[in-house]
Amino acid sequence: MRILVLLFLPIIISLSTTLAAFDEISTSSEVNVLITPTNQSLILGVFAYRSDDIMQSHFEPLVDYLNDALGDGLNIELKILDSQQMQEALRQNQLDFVLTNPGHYLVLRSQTSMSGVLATLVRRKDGVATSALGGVIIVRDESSIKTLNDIKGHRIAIPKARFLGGFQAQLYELQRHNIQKDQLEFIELLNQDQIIDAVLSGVADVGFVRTGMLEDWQLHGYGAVDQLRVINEQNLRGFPFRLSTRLYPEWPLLSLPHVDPTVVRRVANALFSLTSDHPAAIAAEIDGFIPAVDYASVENLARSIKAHPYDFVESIELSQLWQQYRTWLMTIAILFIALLISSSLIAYQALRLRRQRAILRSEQRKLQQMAYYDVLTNLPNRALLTDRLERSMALSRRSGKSLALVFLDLDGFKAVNDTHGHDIGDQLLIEVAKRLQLSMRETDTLARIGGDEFVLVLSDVSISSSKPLLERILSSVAEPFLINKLPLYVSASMGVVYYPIIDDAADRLMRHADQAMYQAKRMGKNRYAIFTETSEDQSAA
Amino acid sequence: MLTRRDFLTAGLGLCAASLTGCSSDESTKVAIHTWIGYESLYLADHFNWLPENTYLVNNQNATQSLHMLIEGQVQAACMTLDELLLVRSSGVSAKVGLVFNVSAGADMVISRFPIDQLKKIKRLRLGYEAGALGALVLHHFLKAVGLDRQHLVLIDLPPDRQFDEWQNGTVDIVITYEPTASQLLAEGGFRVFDSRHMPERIFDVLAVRPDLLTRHGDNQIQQLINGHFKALEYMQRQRQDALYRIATRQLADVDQVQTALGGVHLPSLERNWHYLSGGDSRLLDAAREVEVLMQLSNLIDSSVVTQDMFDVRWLPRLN
Repeated sequence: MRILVLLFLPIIISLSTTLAAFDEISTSSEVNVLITPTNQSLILGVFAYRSDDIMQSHFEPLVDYLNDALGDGLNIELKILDSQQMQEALRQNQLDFVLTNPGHYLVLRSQTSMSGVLATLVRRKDGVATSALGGVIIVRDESSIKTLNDIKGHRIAIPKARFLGGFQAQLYELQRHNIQKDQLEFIELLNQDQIIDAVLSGVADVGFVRTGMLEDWQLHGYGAVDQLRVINEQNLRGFPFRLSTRLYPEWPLLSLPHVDPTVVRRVANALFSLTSDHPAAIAAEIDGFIPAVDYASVENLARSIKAHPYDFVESIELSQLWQQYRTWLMTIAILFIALLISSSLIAYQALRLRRQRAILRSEQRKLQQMAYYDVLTNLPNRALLTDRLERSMALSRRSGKSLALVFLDLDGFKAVNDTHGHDIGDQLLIEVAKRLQLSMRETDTLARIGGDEFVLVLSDVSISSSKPLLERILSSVAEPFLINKLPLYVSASMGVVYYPIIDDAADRLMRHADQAMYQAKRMGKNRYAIFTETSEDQSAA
Repeated sequence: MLTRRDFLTAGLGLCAASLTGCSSDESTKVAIHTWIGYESLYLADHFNWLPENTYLVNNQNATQSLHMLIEGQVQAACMTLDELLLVRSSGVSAKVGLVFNVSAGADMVISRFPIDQLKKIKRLRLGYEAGALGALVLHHFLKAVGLDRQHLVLIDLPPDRQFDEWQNGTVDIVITYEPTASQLLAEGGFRVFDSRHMPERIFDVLAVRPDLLTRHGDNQIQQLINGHFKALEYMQRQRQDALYRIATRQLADVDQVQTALGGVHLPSLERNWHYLSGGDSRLLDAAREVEVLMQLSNLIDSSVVTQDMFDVRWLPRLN
């Protein structure tokens, strides 16, 4: 690599010297132009807001003055151009200076490259100078139009080029009074003089002209402007012209970027040196030029009435939106995602909790079952029995009707168990429970309290009324059971105690029933024995 | 120009209007008089930028505004900082809600004689509005030119009467401001002193009495101040139009208005936040200096300057 550079070094050096030489040549040629100027011709384009002959008579003396003031070497040539022609000339870069109205300046600036405003024109009327212009709204004196609101529905003459003093200023004033462009009817004419003519002759009912036009007509006797009336007159103290709108800065004079800065300075110097008493100033009806004022108000005006070049409808693109509101959009997106994540987490947790609660509930149900029910037969166990018994006793006390507590023990169950095994024994117990349940009423309670021992609580029974029930139970158990195709034979021995015939506590009633059951067993099984006070005495004895 | 008699009747008419026509429980009234620094409010009024139920009560001079605020006929008034101290010394707790302008040459002393001749004249007749502002300018003027009070005959003379008295020959020197100043200069007066020699000492402010504000009062004052800043922007952006409108209202020339505007600084909203929040102590410093001076001149007898007499609550928020 290094070798390569060394190889090419002589070429590089020779090339750079050549370039430096070029630089020198171009610099010296520039200096040449400035020191010994050949007659450089500059073109000043002036916007034709009035008829050609008036424009010429106004501005030719001004150009003559400039040429005198600039002296040798520079020659300014005047070109009066309408907006189309001026646009074309600027596109071809044929103009060096431009004098036009502020609205037009904004349009030109948006289409071609323009440097800043060099100077602002100052107009003069009867010895009063002003660097402000505005719009005038005129009607014939006999017209019925009195206020801005009356203008709606009438024909309005406006200049073809819809710029500041002849259109935009008036439109803004109307907009402030809530009158929109589409409520108005316009007739476009070539220049401002034609507008006054149109209103005077009745071709139009209303005319929009710039400030100073009426006074100029008056001065030169162009027509009977005293037959015109001004709408929305402002009467601003010290302002020399009749006015209907707010005021904006007067015409700007611009230099184009390609014009040599030294030339620009010389022209500016000449412009600012023009005094109001000079014939050129008098002919142009101006006071002279001042350093450029701020044209922001004109821009604001054009924007607010959406005048050219601000008449496009802004389409918002997503990328622009993104660029402009990136931080906001990102914050919103992050917040949204965070919300999404946290809400799904919450939903998941809720689901899990619901499942666990379901499991817990079924476990709880199982535990409850185990605590109060016999696992084999699903019948209430001793704990639940005690509860049921006490409730039935309470009910019996209230109703005055007695209940029977029956202690049942199977006869011959041990033999079945021993012969056929526990499985068969268990199945037999299940079947016995089913038969017992079938022979009982719904209100009665059947419980298994251990092995082959069952307890029945029969409510609302007397000794006599319970007799068929007890016998039905005995016979139902005594019927053979068919388990695994095996015919099995068991019977029941039952001890019965009636409450409150025997008025005792629940646990004692159980004991009494138990005793009576043993008595039934002793009496030969497959029967029942009723506990009486005497039988207790016996057992006690 | 209005004569004294004219303004008396005009003043009475305005009072009557304020007591009947525009007086309602919800309204906020602001006393104002012609001064270049307050033109923003007149402009805002002209363009309908003031809030609903908020009225400017036009007075002929500062003294009237001051009395109206003390007597509670208005909720706010445009006045100089020292006038606000007078209001406060009367026991009224008025606060500074806005700085309209800082005088930088607008307040001036105009004399029939050039400055080097002043000391040679034994009994100079000096006309001034014998309030705090007059006393303040007088104090700085005497100090600057090395004159003693014994050289002077002091005549109480508000600016709206100064031109006539000058022409009648009853005064030699006046302490004044535009538009009277230009008229006197045009008559051949010499500008022997102005507020550029006493920088950031004369503040024009909006004095607000929070105790008199109605339900919407705070909001109305805030909207009014909004209107002031909107007008300031207009004066900057659409300068020519604003100048002509001010000239029309003041019955002055555009050039005079331009000159008058050149004599004041109009602080932006940001500057106002600095002044009123205490971030910039110059307003407080000026108030303290003026207070001392006023105590020496027996204009006030108690201490009335406190940090909380400046209130940012009515200033629009900064973006």
